[in-house]
Amino acid sequence: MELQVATRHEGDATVLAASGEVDVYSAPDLDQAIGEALATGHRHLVIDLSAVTFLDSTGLGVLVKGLKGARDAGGWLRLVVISERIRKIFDITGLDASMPLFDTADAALAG
Amino acid sequence: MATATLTIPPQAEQVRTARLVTTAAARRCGVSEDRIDEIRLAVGEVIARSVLRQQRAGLPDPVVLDITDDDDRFTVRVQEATAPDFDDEDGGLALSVAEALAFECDVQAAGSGCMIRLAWPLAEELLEAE
Repeated sequence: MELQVATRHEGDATVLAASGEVDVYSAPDLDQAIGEALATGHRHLVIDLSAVTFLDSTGLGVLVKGLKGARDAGGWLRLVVISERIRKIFDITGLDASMPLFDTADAALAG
Repeated sequence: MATATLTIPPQAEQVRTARLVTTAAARRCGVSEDRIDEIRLAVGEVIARSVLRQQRAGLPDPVVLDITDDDDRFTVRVQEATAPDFDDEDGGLALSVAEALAFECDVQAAGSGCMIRLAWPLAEELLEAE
């Protein structure tokens, strides 16, 4: 399933809703969407992965890069993850300690 | 009994094909759905790592995936053209994830390249292990 990324703005935050598979082939598309948001001054980011069916370490690398970019700009990056399948890779790598995971975009926006 | 051999060019778009074939083979061997998710991720990590390593090394050789269910194990062997000590840059995370998910994971020299072996016990043994 191809990766799709839909961008919308909620107050001073930007929600990037991804759907499909994030892997070595498609991760550059997510990287580009995050990069464009940051480059246009949107430094508070919610990456909604609730419709993502596969995420590997290349996808994690993109999220870590986005987290660093948001923090460097004085903002934040929060994730929406509902699938146990996707949560597992955050558990294995311990990245859930540095990237907070939320159940909904509204919860992520509220922090 | 060999169940499948897949040869792919070292291209990122081929990694998904490898995951699909592995998932279908695991299902056919009777692996549980929960375990199939782990196998899909682990094998995807290893194949993606091999593809990226060969791209960085400029090696156009195919990456070969061999799937078997010998000896009560569901085993996936990935043969790549880069040597085991090839500078891996950020490929270490991919292998760490695969090691965390597989019951057995090892990397061996194979000819001028290397082979990564991932294995999981089949159903009965899994029940005893958990």
